[in-house]
This record gives sequence, C-alpha cells and structure tokens, in this order.
Amino acid sequence: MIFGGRLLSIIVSIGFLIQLPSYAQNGSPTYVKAIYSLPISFDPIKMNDTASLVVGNLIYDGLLKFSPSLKIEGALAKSWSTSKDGKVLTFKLKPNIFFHSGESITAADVEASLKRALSNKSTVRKFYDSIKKIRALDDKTIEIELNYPFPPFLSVLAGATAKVLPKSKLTDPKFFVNPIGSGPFRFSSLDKNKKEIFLEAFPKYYSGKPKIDRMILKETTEGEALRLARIGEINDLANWPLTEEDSIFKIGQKISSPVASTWIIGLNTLQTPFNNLQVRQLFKSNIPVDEFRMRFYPDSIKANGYVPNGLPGSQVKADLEVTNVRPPKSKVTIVIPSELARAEEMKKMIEKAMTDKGWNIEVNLMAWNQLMDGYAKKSHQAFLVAMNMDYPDADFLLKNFESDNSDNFSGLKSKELDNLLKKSRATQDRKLREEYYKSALKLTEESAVTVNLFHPRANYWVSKCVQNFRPNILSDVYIDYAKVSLSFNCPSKKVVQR
Amino acid sequence: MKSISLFKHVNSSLNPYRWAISLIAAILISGLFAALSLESKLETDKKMAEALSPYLATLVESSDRPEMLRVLHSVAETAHSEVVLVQEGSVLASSRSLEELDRPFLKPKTKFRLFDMDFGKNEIVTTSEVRKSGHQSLDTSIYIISPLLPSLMSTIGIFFGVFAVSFFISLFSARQMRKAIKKALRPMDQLHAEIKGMVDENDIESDPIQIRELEEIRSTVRSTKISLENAKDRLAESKAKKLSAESYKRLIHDLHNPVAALRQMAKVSNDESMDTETRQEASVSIPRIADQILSQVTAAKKNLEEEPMALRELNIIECVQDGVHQVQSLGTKKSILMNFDSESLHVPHDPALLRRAIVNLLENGIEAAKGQVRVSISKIDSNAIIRVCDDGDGMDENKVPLYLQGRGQSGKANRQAFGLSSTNHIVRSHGGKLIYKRSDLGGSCFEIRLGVV
Repeated sequence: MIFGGRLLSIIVSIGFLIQLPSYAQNGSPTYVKAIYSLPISFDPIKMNDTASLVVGNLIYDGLLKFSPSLKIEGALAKSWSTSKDGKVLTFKLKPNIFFHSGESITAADVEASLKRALSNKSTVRKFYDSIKKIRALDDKTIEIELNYPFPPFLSVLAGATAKVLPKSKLTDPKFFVNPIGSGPFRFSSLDKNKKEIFLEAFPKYYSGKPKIDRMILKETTEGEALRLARIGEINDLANWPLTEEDSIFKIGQKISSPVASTWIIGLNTLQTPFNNLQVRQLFKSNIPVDEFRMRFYPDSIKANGYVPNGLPGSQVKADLEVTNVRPPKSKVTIVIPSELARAEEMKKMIEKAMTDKGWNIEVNLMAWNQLMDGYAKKSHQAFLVAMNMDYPDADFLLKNFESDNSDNFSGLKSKELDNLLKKSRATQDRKLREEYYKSALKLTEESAVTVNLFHPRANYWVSKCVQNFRPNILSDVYIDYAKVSLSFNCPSKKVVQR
Repeated sequence: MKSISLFKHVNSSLNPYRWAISLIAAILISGLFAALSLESKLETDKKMAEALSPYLATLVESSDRPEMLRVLHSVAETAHSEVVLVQEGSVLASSRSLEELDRPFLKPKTKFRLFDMDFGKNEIVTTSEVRKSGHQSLDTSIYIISPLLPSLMSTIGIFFGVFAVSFFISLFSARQMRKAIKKALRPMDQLHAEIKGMVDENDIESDPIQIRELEEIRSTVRSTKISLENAKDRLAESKAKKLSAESYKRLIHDLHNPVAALRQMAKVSNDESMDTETRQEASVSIPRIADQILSQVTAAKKNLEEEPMALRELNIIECVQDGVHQVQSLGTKKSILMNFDSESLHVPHDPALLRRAIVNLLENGIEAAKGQVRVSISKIDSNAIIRVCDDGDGMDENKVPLYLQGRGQSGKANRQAFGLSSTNHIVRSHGGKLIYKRSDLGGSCFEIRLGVV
C-alpha cells in the first residue's frame, strides 16, 4: 500500500466545527481522528492506499486480524485449520456475528467477498492470486483451496483488504455510498465538502461494543491537524508519523513504534531515461539518501534495502559499482506529495544534490490524488512514496515487481524474479523460501527500481485523554480502535460544546 | 525436692529439644524446598531461553521480526515474564512494547547475582546468548525479565507451606517418639511397681520383665527381700531363745526370794523354839508364798508361750493411738489426753504386744486417776519415749519393783497376770525399759523407753 505524507493545506474547516455539535450533542465525547486524505474508495478490493485502508479497517472486518505484535488472531473466524499439504484452509465462523444492517454473517458472505477480491475489477487481486477455489461448506464453514501452499496466506486474510461484505447488498450499485460492514464502527455519513466521515460504534461488534461511541475522521493537512490538536479539538494524529522531537508531544502522548514501511523514490522503467539499467543504478547511487534521512527524518531507521527492518530479506542490499556512466542530459522529474510538511525543502535539497552530480533534474510537488493517479497510470518517471505492508512478508513487496502484476509501478519485467517468487510460494520450507526472497530482492536491488530512503519510525500523537491506544508494527491502519477509549474529561468536549 | 516419674523426667528433659529440632528441621526443609523452587523456576527460564536459542538464531539471521515477536509473546505468556531480544545493544524484538524496538536496550539495574541470574529492584533477569547450532555468536542475547514479587511470592508460599507441613510432621514424630519412650519405660514402671509391692507387702508374683538388666535388678531385689526376711526370722528366733533364757534366769532370780521366804517360813513353822503366834503366822504365809511362786511360774510360762515376736519398723504413734482407742471403746468417764511431738516415729516393734502393754498401762492409769490420763510420745536422742501419766494418788515407790516383778498385790480384778510385770516383760522383750516416775499431774507416770535404731 502506498502512503502519502504530510498535507500542506491549512484551511480550517469551519464546517467541521459547526457540524460537530449536531453530531455529538448527546453526551459522551467524540473521538476525532485527523486523516491526511479521505478514502479514495470505500470498496476493500480497490483500497490500494493507506487513506482508504484506515477507514476500511474501521468499518469492515475479515476472517482474521493482526494483533499489535503481528500475531494472527481470529476476527470473524472462530477457528481454522490447514490441510497437510498446506493447500486447503477451512474456517469456522463465530456464532452471533452481524453486519451493521443487523444481518447475520454467513459463509456465503465470506465466499462472495473473497471472490470479489479475485475478480478483474479488484486492484488487490495480486494478493489473492494464490486462491484456486472458495466454497461455503455450510452457513458457518468456508473452505479455501490454494494453487500452491502459500504460507503467508493467513497474513493476507488478516490484511486490510480481505474484508467480508454482505452478499445480498453487493449488487446494489450504491452500496459503497453507505457501506455496510461488520467492523467496530458503522458508517454514518460522509460530508465531501467538509471532508469528514462520521462513524458510530457498532453495538453488536463481535468483541463487544467499542468504547468510543462516535468517531469523526477529519481530512486535513498536517499543519492544520497539529494546530487543532494543540487547541484540544483533535484526539489522534496517528495518520502522520511525526518526528520524535515535534513540539506537539509536549501536550499529548507520544507512542512510538517501528512500522513495516519503506520510503522510496520509485523509478519507472517504462519511462526514459530509467529504461536504462545503468542510468537507474547511477541515479540510485547519486541520491543523497543518508543526508535526506538525517535532515528530514532523523529518528528513522537506515534502509539497507527495500524490505523494512525486521523482515526476512531486510539485510539484502545491492553493491552497485557504476563506472563509466554519466547522468543523461534529458530532464528527469521526480514527483513528491505536496502534502509533505517540508516538501519544498526536500525539493531544493534533492535538486541541488543531483544537479551537483550532473543530473538535469526537477522535483515537482504534486497533490496526493494526482500523484496516485500518475502512479496507477505509470506516467511518472520517478516518485516519492512510502510503501506500507499489508502483511508482514517480503512477498508483499516483491509482488510489486512481478511482470504480470498490473500494479507493478516500476514496469520491471524479469523472468528470473518471477520464477523465484513462484518457487517461494510453492515451498513450505521457511529457510528455502527465505533464500528465494533474498535472491529476488538481490535482483530487485540490482535492477535499481527503487531508491530506498529510510524505514520510518512512527511517533504517534494522541491527546492525553486517549486510553488503550496501542500501535501496530505493520502501520497505523491496523491500530485496534475497538479497544481505544476516551476519558471523560477529554478536551474534545470543547468541540462538542461549540 | 519434689520427685517425678522417670517418664516425666525423660519427657521434660527432651521437651526443649523436641521443639527446637522440629523448628530447625522445618526451617531447613522449607528453606531447601524454597531455594529449589526458585532455582527451578529461574533455571526453567534459562533452559527455555537456551532451548529457543537455535530457533531464535534462525529468525535473527533471517531478520524475521514478526515471527520473533510471536515467539517472544508466546514465551512471555507461558513464563509470565517479559522477554526481550537484543542485538548489538539494540532491541530487536520484545514482548513488552513495540516502542522499544530498534532502541537501545535498557537493562534493569542489578542489585545482586544468584544462580547466574541478575536480581534487580523489582525483577529477576535471566540472560542467555542466542547462538547458532555451531555455537557461532550472533551478538544477540535473550533477556527473560520475571517480576520479582510474584516469583518470590510462590517461593515464599512454598517456604511457608513446606514449613507448616514439616513442622507438623516433626511435632507428630516427636509425639510418637514420646509414646515410644513411654512404652519403652514400661519395664521400669513394672520394676517400680514390683519393688513398691514388696515394700507394701502386696507381693504378687508378676511376669518377668523383658529388659534383661531390669529383670536382674528385680530378681536381686526379690531375693534380697527373701534373704532379709529369713534373716529376720532367724534373728527373731535367736532373740526369742535369748529372751527365753533371760526369762528363765529372771524367773530363777525372781523365785529366789520367794523360795527363800518359803523355806524360812517352813523353818519358822517347824521351829518349836518359836512362839506359837510366829509359827502360826509362818504357817499361814507358806501357802500364800507358794501361791505367789506358782503364780510367778505360771506367768513366766505364759509369757514364754506367747508367739515369737515379730519386730517391724512401724509408726509407733499408730500403735499407741490404737491402744487409746481400744481403751476408750470400753467406756470411761475419765479423759485421755494425747500429746505427740510428731505424726510419725518409726521404731522396730511388735504392734500387737506393744499395744497390749500400752492398754495395760492405760487401764492402770484410768483406774488410779481422779479425772485425767495423759499419753505422750516424744523422741529423745535415739530413744522413743512413751509416757502414761495420771492424776491419781500415785504408788508406793518401794513396792513398784515388786509389782514389776509380779510379786506385788494388785487391787485389780481379773488381771490374769497381765499387770505391770507383763508390761515390763513386753517392754523388755523389745529391748526397752519400763520406768516409774512421779507424774507432774500428781499421780503415777510410767515411761516406756524403746531404742529407735
């Protein structure tokens, strides 16, 4: 998944402040979470960005989920088993599980939802292509047959896109206008003008009603979000991995955790001059990675390679020896999200460093949705994004470089890499799979399709009245808000009383 | 000093040790168990860390942090501890918090080390190096941090539990030991009962004592007693012979004068040179003197026919009291006062004979007394003194020796020769003396003087 950073807009949403009283007038505090963007889609099978996934994880639930330490736990599934050959997984659903509409959740709903993920309209199909067959054995039992024993598959099902939707409602073309899930919060309304999503606690949530009665997801820029947080009108800035020294932490809680993410500058092999391997390698070696990290994200972790620290393959790095190659004369454009707080500084720094090394380079600041659009169309030469992981396995990141993956942002085509990935999925031998990953990552690094900037360390800010906020090592998408609560003297009451 | 039984003596002697040994044994056993429990728990942590080491090494090598976290969480849940994996001083994985990942590891301060473990203020830290199967170091260590209080609580619980159980077992054992001692001392009780029975004359033949030494003592005591009784019998026999001889000698001596008087009277009676009145008076005296001689001989014979004396060292006061009661039971208007220096005075005597002597003196006293007879017993030097005094007119002191020899004229009827001479005979047969004195009450006072030893 791709994450876009800070937003620059500092427009204060007066409407937001007016809207709140009507929404939260009946008592208990409302939890206000700032987000850098409204979801691009409410459809789980089209959620390819963190902004969408954050909302999706609040509204929807899947068979499985990740604990904060990445232990796989049952969500809608009560239990599960795997056949000896690792190809057949059977899940038993919990009793008394309901959609927000009040309908009981059945195996047929699971079957229909997973089949949608496998359909052509799914942008996350790549995660599910190991599935051969899905069938509901009875109301509470679902069986998934795989093409090959793919050990990370349970992680895929615990990921943010493997959500269960009501089969009976999926034919409704307006379903995602008022989406129905079974997650801890039910969708109440969306105000596109005011860029706010209103959620309510789902009383029949399988693990009990969430402790927060109401939640507002408020799209805003990082600067505005910080300002609102300082005056007590925002409870949660988890959407932004702030630097450790940020002054906002003087008035709230700092909850720090590494996250499975890599900030990269992606290079598109379909665009000149990056169709040339040596140019890519030179570019990769010329980017002042350490300087960038120390200047803008000093508490982040140095990236050895593409895979975040603490995951198999994270130690793989390329020893590029670029000789007798000069930077091309043609202009190279790097796009970076304009929402990043210090985007201008970044632009100047990169342009200067690369120009000094002979590159004809331009850094463009681009709005997040435009950047994502170009990303999908593979129209950018180079782009700065953060690659977040949906499941903690190198396979997730390596998929991005598979030849037949429509989401292959680099346009790289390598049969050797494809073969290595196929072999890795076909083996149940952990060590062997690790070796395949290492080889594949070595190939990727040598192909120089990513400049690995750093692995961020998330410093989440939440107000002092927020309780039981536990980070998740994957990303803020997986924070379990069903357990988060607000103390009664929460400053957000100010919002309520306005 | 108050004497106590042998069992009580043994029991009271052992009692302090019984408590002390129970207490010390309980403390030692419970301390041992507590130490073993603590060591076992901590050793378990270490073993677990060592057992996980090769697997963790694999995960470290492959940088598989998700799996490391799962493993550490699982270990932490099982061990009720916190587990931290540290590589090159930085936290690689932790069951505690994601916040400390990739941060320098802050090891809790060590207060002291024991069993190769670090004891901090609130925790116990077990450390084990993570090594590959070939013992190749990865510069990685696993720290198992157990909360001190719960760890110690279970140890303290075990200590007190074992202490209570072992203390009660020790006490129970001591109680059983007490019973065993009591049982073991039974032969002593048997010996004691037998010896007591021999002394109290309840000499019943019992079963042999099982303890050889005690049985030998019992046999020795029994045979000694029998020998003693035999010796006593022989002594009594010898004494009786001696007394008989003395009685004959005394009879002969006592008859010397009457016989001389008889001879003189017979001579006077036949002496024609004497006047008629004198001869007649002598003739009258002859049968009287002959009767007296006959009476003395009869009395002596009767005394010799008495049962051989059985001298026993008994309380002479009881004997005197029995005599007083016997006299009082006959009914008398005169008072008998008793004045004894002590409650017991043991003197070898024959209670039946001596009582007869006392009764005789009392009867004489009552007959002579105007209103009061006083009986007193005292001990002077090595003699027991029994005095029977009355407030009568007293006796002619010149005639007293005659009475003591059985030659005086007693005014009593039916005396049947049991007068003063009989009393004198009994006292003498006890090796004592019967002495006449004037009483401070005004009348007679007879004093029986017997040797105590």
